[in-house]
Amino acid sequence: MRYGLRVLPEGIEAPSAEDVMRASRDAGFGDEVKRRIILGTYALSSGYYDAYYGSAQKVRTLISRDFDAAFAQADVLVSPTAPTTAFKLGEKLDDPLAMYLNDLATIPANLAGVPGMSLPSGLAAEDGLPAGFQILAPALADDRMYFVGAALEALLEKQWGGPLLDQAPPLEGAGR
Amino acid sequence: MSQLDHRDTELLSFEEALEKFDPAMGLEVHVELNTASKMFCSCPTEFGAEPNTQVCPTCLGLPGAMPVVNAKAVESAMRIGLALNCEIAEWCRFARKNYFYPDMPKNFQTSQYDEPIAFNGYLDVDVDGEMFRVEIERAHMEEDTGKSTHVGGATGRIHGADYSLVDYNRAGIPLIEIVTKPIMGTREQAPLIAKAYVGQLREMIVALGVSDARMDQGSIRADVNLSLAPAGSGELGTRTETKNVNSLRSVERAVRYEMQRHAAVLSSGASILQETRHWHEDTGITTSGREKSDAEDYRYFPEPDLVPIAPSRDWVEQLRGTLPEPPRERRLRLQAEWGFSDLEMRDTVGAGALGLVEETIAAGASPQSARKWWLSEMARRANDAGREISDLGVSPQQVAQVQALVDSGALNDKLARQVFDGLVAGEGTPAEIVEARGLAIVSDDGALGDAVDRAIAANPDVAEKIRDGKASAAGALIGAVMKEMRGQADANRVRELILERLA
Repeated sequence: MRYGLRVLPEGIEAPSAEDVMRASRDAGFGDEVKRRIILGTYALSSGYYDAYYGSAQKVRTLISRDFDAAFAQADVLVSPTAPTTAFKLGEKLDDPLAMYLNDLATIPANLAGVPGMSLPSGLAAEDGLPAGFQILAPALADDRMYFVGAALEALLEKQWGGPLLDQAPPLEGAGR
Repeated sequence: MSQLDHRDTELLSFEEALEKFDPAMGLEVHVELNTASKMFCSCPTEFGAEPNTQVCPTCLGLPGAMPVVNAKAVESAMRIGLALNCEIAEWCRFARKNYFYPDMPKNFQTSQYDEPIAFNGYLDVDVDGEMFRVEIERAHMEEDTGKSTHVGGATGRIHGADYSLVDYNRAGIPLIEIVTKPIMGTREQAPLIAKAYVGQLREMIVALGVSDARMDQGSIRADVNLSLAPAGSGELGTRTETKNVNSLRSVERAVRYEMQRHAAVLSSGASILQETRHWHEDTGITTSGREKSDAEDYRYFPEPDLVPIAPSRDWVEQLRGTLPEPPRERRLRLQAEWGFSDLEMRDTVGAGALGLVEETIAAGASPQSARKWWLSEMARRANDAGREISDLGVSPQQVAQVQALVDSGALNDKLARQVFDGLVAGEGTPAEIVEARGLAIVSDDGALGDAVDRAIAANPDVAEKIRDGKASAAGALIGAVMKEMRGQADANRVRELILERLA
């Protein structure tokens, strides 16, 4: 490999292309990437495809229908973007499930194939960290989503007397 | 691995193999389409360009590159499917076939899996004048891989090589893979049917005009699956898949070889390993490749970057209208047009010379002369050289030109054969070869007359017989003149001159 990381495996005299690939990926990929590769590979393996990938596709169709039903009653859907404010960098590395749970509110839009956008909603009372909310619109109704987003942003900024970012404390060691 | 393999491989005789077992075959043929651009990008597809000059981010698999389907390739796929009497899918998708190998930089091949564009068809194959129906499982679209060259080893394989080079010009060229259903009940005809199927499939591809259809350049490649089951059992045994079978002759030989090898293994009480095997054109044997069962899990899933293909029925019917004449009808029509006997026609088809004869006749030769040159002269040369009749370097147009020279009296058959020597050796056009080799027939009376006089003087007893009215004795004198003129005399004129002088 001429570009990017190239790691030669130890203890092999004449490594094959596969040996070099294996060593480079082992050294270069982080835990989370490896976890997802293994999960994805496992789900697509012959004998497991129907149980995982096939079932997931069906669940996805059901989620999509759920959204259709909801959009029959409302123009857009609004929810918190994440269940908590940001945790500290590296704090939950040993608890991947907790990290995945943070994506709980945003993943459904990806599964259903509908557009979504996140806007700041203010600073949380408990820790002073920014919180956000998301606006979801039906597929191909992105214009409606932007329309609602722009209107809400204008109202919130009027209430705050400017962008929320202006209320943020200065970052230690950063220019701002 | 291969050295030991060669020595240890035992074969049963073909006859004994058939006594004990029934063969079942499956043939997979890859056809490289002749579209101007690749399957999923606009790179050109010309053969033989400088390595890695016909590439772009898409066919190199660079991050973020997005594929777009080549409509012409989809059209060619559907035309192949229709010509094979297949159903055309109302809706189908591409799938990612995941594997890691340097010839496929995306780490997956974009192919089709359980939703092929065409399925459930057949091809009626003419085998020694009998029709055999080969059922088609599917024909699907995919992209070709890059081409690896392993440098420094003795075998050209990756084992023992110092380094490897990859040319991605071929990566992304559209391929159609045509897969048969298991071909059963062929018995001793199995090798012949395999060859006839690939040969007549190739003819059909040529007639469709969707591929260069050059087996020697790899634009048509065949994989041969073969298994044996106890004779009369009606079962399917464990199969092997022989790759790299790149000539019609090799298809026949590979089937025959694997039948004999399987039979020997099974007769010894051992079982056949399900594996990929490599065909070696030079030695006529197969050797073990990788074992298939454990290593290959391609983890197919639907390609998310491409829209599904949903050809309208109007489009399908419009393409059906562009199909060439079906092979069987074409053969019957040509036989009637040319006035060939059943035997002559069967031999022509069997030699894979139907298209060549047709083109030769189109270039002006009579049907019988076209047949004569291809089936005697060219077939013999191809057999001697172990090559395809179409790969001798002699074109149908050249054969017609040579025949025109014979018809005009400038050449006789014997001299014509020397012109073919020159054509095979690449010495130029027929006219140039006649000139350069000095092959033209001498019909000039001056030169011939002298030779005739010498022949008469040297054979007084023969001359005496002719004077006595025994004209049939002239043959000996004609022979003497021809010998002196190194075959380049006009035999009819020589005969006339002899009879004039001895009247």
